[in-house]
Amino acid sequence: MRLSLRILLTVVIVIVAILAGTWVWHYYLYAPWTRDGRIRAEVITLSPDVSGWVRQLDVSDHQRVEKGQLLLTIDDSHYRAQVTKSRAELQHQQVASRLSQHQYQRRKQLRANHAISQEDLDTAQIQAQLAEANVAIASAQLDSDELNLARTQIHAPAAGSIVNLNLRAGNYVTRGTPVMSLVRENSYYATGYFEETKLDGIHIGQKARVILMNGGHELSGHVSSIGTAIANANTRTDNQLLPQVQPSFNWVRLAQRIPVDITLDTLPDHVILAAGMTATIRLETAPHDDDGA
Amino acid sequence: MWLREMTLGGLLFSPLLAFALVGLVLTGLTRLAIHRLNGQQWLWKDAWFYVALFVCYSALALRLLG
Repeated sequence: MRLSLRILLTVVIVIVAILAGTWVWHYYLYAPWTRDGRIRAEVITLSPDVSGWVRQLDVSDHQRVEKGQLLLTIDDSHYRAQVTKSRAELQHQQVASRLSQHQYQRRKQLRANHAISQEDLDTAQIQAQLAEANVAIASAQLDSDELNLARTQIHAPAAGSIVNLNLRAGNYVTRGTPVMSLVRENSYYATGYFEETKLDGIHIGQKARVILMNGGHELSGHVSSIGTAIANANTRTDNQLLPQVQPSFNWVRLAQRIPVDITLDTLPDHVILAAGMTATIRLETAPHDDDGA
Repeated sequence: MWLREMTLGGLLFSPLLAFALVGLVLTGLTRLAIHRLNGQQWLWKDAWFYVALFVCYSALALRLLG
């Protein structure tokens, strides 16, 4: 009898442990929280639209800038000369057009008096039209050159702060090559990378708590979007665009992680945020879902 | 409340580690108490009992703190 009681006590504890372990497993598997959260922000990479050496740099690294503030000036000597040339070219074409038009009008009178052939009149008319088209080409070229000249000055497209500024006055910058980044003001949000097993308990608008590693500050927010695609590491395409599927398949695999974006509702003044910070993200569930199963 | 990543000297740890530590400490205390009270005679398989108790305590910590 005593042995039976001893066995019973141990077996009961083991059964309770199995149930508790199963609950823990389900909790970790399904509860909508993740340690893999990151603070992110809208980052604008700034590239010059014209090439040239930097004459003047008006910002420093991490400086806050207003929308429209001058960031840097590229040497505009070439572009000013090009505008002068295009302006002269436009004037030239306008004069040439007036001359052609004048000749055409003159030939129309001559043709009325049967002094020239119809072919001569047609030629004059076509030349006048060509001259008019040349004026339009020269005008467009002038517009383009004036635009290039204006773009030797780069202004901030939005309010924010400058990041990763390695540019110095005197450096040569190339059209289309990024020279600095701008983090848009008040554009911080969080992205939680949730295991695919937890997606069933996540929906748009769900309240979220973002706990920063920075001092354990807790921010509130809500789910604004759920990722709809991630890359498939198991398959690539060969040069014939055929799927190259990995033949190995492990016994134990990790669940894929899907990005879920969290819009931050309020941002306390004393909390310093930087894109890339680590955070724990917990999504609030209905009371009956609180056990995570 | 405690279901968040823990920082220790710049290292980040899963909260499960804290719950496991709580379970370990409580299991150790229980084991001491049982020995003090001479209660090991009521146990059939000590190892099974204490492992099961550790799992129960860890789950309880997760339930109460997490």
